[in-house]
Amino acid sequence: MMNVNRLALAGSKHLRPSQYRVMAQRFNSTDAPKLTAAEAAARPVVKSGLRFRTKAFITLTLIGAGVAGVVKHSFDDEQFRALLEDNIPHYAHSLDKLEQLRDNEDVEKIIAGAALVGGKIVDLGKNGYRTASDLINGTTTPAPEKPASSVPSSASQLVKKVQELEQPKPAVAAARAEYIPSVTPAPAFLPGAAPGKNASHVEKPKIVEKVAKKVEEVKEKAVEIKENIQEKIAEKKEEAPAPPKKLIKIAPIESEEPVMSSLNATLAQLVHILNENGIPEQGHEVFEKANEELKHLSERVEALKVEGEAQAATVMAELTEKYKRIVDEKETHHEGHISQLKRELADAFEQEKKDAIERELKIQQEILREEQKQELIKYAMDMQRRWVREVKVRVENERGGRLARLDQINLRLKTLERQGVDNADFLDQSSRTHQLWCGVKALEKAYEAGERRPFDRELARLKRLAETEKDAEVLKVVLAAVPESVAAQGVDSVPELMDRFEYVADKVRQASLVPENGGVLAHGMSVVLSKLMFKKHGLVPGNDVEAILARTEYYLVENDLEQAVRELNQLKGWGKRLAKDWIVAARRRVEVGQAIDVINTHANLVSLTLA
Amino acid sequence: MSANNNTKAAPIPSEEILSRKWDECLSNVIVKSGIGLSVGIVASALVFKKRSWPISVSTGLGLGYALSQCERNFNPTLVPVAKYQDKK
Repeated sequence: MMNVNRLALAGSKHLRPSQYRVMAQRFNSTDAPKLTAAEAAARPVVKSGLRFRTKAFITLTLIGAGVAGVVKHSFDDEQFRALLEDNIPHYAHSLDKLEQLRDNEDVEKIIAGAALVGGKIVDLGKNGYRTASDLINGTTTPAPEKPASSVPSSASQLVKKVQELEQPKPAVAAARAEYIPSVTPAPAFLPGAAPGKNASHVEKPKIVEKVAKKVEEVKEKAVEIKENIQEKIAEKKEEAPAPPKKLIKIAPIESEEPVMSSLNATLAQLVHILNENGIPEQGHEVFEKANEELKHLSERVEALKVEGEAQAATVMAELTEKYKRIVDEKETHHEGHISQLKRELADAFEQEKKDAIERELKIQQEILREEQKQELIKYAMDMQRRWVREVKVRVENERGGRLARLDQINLRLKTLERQGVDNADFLDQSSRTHQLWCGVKALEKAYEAGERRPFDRELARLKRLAETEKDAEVLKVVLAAVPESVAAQGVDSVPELMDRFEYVADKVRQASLVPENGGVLAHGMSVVLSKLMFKKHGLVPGNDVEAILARTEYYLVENDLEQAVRELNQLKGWGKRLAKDWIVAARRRVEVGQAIDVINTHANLVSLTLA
Repeated sequence: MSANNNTKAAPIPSEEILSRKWDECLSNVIVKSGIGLSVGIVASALVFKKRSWPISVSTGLGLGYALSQCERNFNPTLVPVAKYQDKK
């Protein structure tokens, strides 16, 4: 019954089929035996979930991963690291140590060493496995070729190859050393020159050859002649050993020619020799004939000489005559030429002299004229000066008389004029000063009013006054420094400023705890927490917001606006932004006050210098 | 429209800028969460078979949007995804 009701209730709700199934299972599960309380307690309690050990392990792993992640990120992100270092004690120290560890080279070496050791262990393991499997199976498996050891074996192979290559080399070298030199002899002469001795004779001149030939011929002939003579002498000696010796007599020929004398000498020698040796009549006759012929020859030579000389003399005479004739002609010609030249030169000289004289005359004339002019000018000036002096003297005399009186009258007139002008000036000045004073007073009244009042009309009036006044530069500058908008709107009064300051101070306090670039939350926190801060009053030292506000308040109460503005200007950040307008308004008031002060002083000065 | 222009042209006294920002923030929150609420109710009624979660989700979305607007209003230098790096 209960079940049916429940089912009905369940049906009224909107169920999903799975939910319906579950509900049906629950309601229909009447056949499952229900456990009694004692039996339930007797059963071993299977706690749901994992065991404590597993849980702890998982937690530790997660925490370790978290820490590792944090450390890794703090290495990468500087801002994150800074944040953590600020807030977690000893974090900076541990991070520095980790960094050192990371950068440490020893660690790298250790890691590399560990890698090597690991590799060796792996190899050992492999070897062991292989031997074990061999023992078990009874087979032998060869050690696998390690790629690492192949390198040195190939090196040894290379060495062997090199050695093999090196061995045949000495045999080859020996074969090369058995070089047989060639049999052909070196050429003894250069291909250009002709072989043989005649090479040296080619260069000699032909004349020398001829002479040499002649000399040889003569020598040969002489030798022949000598031989003949000797033969003959020998014959003669044999033929006639004892004929009567007739001495050959030769008359020595005297001539001037050296050839003749030498011939004669040789003949004499021959005769002497023959005479000594003995000679037949033939020879004697021959020699006498020869002597006669020599004589004839010498006479002939002499005759020829004389003839030659005569001829030479005649030729010489002719030549000298010709020469003389020619010389005379030339002389006469030249004399005529020279006399002509002389005449011409003389004429030219005369001409030149005349010209020079004329020139000199002209120059002299010029000089004299110049001098005359100078003299005239001087005289003229002199005359003029004398004339001026005369006039002056006359005027002086006159002046002494009537002109003096005119001067006096003029002087008096001038003084009168000046006095009149001064009077007028004075009156002007005093009236302007009055006006200035009135204007300043009006401005002051507007300035000191209890509330903000515009003073543009007063300012305009003052400007007009300043324009007409002389020595009013300062005034003009000061009046120009007050902007039109300020004059039109007026300037806050001190009570107004004080009121506004209270409001501003409140707002500044609210915004005082906002950090840089703070958002909504920061501002909200600042508003809330600032209400918990104490307010300060009076002249307190310090640079925080409260102190500044307290000092500004103090100066305001003392009516020292300038100092108040300076103090409030020291705010920073949001406070400054909030207080900006108040500072501007207070500054304006201060500036206008200063301008009014300056105008006051100016008016004072003017009225003092008036009298 | 002209009223809007006038209010924009008149300068705000500087001490009021924060108050102005708070006003805007508050109005934003009210308006946007209100809109979220209404959208959520409508969505839940029409689309989601009268379940409760669309309403809260939508209101939350509206509030979140208003919050981010406020944040930008108070800190105009905030640019999404940009990080401030201190000059070293």
